[in-house]
Amino acid sequence: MLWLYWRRSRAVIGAVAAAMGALAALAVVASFLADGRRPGSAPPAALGRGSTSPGRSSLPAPNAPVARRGMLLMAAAVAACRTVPYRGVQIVAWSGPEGSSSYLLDVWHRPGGPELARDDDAGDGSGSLGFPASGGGGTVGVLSLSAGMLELLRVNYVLEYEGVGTSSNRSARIVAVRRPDGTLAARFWLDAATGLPLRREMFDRSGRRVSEGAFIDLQIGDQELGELPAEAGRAWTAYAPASSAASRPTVAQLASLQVGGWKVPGRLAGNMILSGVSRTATPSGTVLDARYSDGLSVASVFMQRGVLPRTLPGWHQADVSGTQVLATESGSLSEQGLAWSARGIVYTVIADAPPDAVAAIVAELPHDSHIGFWSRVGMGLKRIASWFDPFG
Amino acid sequence: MTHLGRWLSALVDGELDGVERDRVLNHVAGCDSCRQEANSMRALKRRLTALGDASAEPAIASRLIELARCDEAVSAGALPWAAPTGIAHARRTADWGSGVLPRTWRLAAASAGASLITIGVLAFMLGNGEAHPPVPKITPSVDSYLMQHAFDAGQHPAGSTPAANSSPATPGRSKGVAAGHAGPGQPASGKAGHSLTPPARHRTTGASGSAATKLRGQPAASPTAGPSPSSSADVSAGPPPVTGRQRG
Repeated sequence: MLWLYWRRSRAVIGAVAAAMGALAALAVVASFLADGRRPGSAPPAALGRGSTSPGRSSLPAPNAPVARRGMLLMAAAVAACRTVPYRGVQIVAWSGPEGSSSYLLDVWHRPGGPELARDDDAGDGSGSLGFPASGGGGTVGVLSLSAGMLELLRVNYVLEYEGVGTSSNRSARIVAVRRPDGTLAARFWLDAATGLPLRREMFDRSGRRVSEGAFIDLQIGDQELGELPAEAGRAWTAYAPASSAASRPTVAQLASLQVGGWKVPGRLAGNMILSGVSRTATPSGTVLDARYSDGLSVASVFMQRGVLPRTLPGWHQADVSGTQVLATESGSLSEQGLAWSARGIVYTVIADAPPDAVAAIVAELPHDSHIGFWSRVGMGLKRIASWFDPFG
Repeated sequence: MTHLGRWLSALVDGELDGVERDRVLNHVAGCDSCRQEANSMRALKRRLTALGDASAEPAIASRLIELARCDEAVSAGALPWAAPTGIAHARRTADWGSGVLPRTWRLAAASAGASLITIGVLAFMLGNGEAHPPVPKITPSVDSYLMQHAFDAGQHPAGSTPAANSSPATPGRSKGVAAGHAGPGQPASGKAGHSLTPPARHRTTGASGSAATKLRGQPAASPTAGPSPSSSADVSAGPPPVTGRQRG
């Protein structure tokens, strides 16, 4: 009897088994294609040294041990940047498709004070930058962490403890900073003894390393600090916020700026959040500085009423996101000044950010769009009519 | 030279009768020139009659009649503006009908057109920008901006003349070494001068790899490399070598 049933149903059972096998094979192939790697292989971030591509990886859960440890290590680094006395030399390098740039910085830090930085050339009198008052103005280190930046990091990225390593002959713990899509945005090497950031690498979304900053010499302790150089004077006054760096301009402050004719966006492309506004008075008028950061990069947007000349000595025309701007130097957009004018405002952007992020910021800020013939004539007629308006 | 004038043509046309016809005929009989003239007119009349009906178009005929009346009115001393059916009116009517403006109207139209074009060009030129007072031309003060950007990044620029004993000793680092590896003519930090003060930095054009490594004279790392691999060349003058890591 059973044999009879088996003979009748074996074809059906075989077909069902074949279909399920094919389905399982399809699932395996789909998983392989989606992950871009062989199933079962370790993610690049979990690979040891020698991994060649900081690609996409699965994000740890917020309460995962590696995520909590990464956050704790970064918080300790913020505290170390505030409390540990040190001095040293940093090298900062930016690279892009068109080339790369690098510079050296002498840095000093005394507990409770800000990190002082000076162009490595300024101390020996060469002064290549030509900043007699500021010495190293414009050379920005990338290793110092603040509470405000850590807060932005926590909001925009996922921190993950990756392991141990060494940098500058010092043992370090490595923390990876990942975007919400799992791609690697940066890695920090944090000193195992003090918590100070020793090295930072930044990557764009394609996994290309766009920046690295590291101590090439670091001496820790009060006895190594010696006498600090004088701090350059600050001509800018904070408009908002007035107190801590972690706070942000309030809606009322932004509205006040809007009433004054300053349209300051609260957020720019790439999760760059407005974290402060300063201003200064110059002979040619007030200049507003809006500071944006996503926790890793810092972009300063300077605004001044006026128009930009078509050409400026020392500047050249550059195409950024399809927009013609003036740039201070050729090559990578990072560490580069980009200027243009729109609607009666001259915008100048200086950013320590990957080139694609800088391009996105520039694209999002106002630009004069091409107006049609009749619109232009209409605006001109309106202007002519204003000449005869006794109340105008 | 005829002596009878219109009486001769009336004779030829047969419009005379009675005493007038006799008197004209007596004169023609005794006058050779008038007789020849009468013969010529009769010959012309015969020729025209042979052509058949050649009446003019009604419109042309009415125009000719109108002109004849106008001439009569002018000769009678009537004022041309008192008679709108005169030649001026006819000519004016003909001008309007043909689409040609009178001179005054042409001048007015040309003036209006020129004014419109002038206003349009002026409006087009003034329309390049918003209707606000002219704004000054600005040259961005890059040096000041860069300093402020350093503050934005959380750093305070140090003065150029630190205390004499405060210069960091930086053991294990030599600026001369850095300058040597930066390439001929490059300053130690890789920065070059510029005219307006934008920061022209050390550039290694075309190398998208590790500029820091290049500055220190070491092979460039792969652009896509992750943490630098552990290396035995962990020299103090080189870039910060990074050894591998492991989860702990």
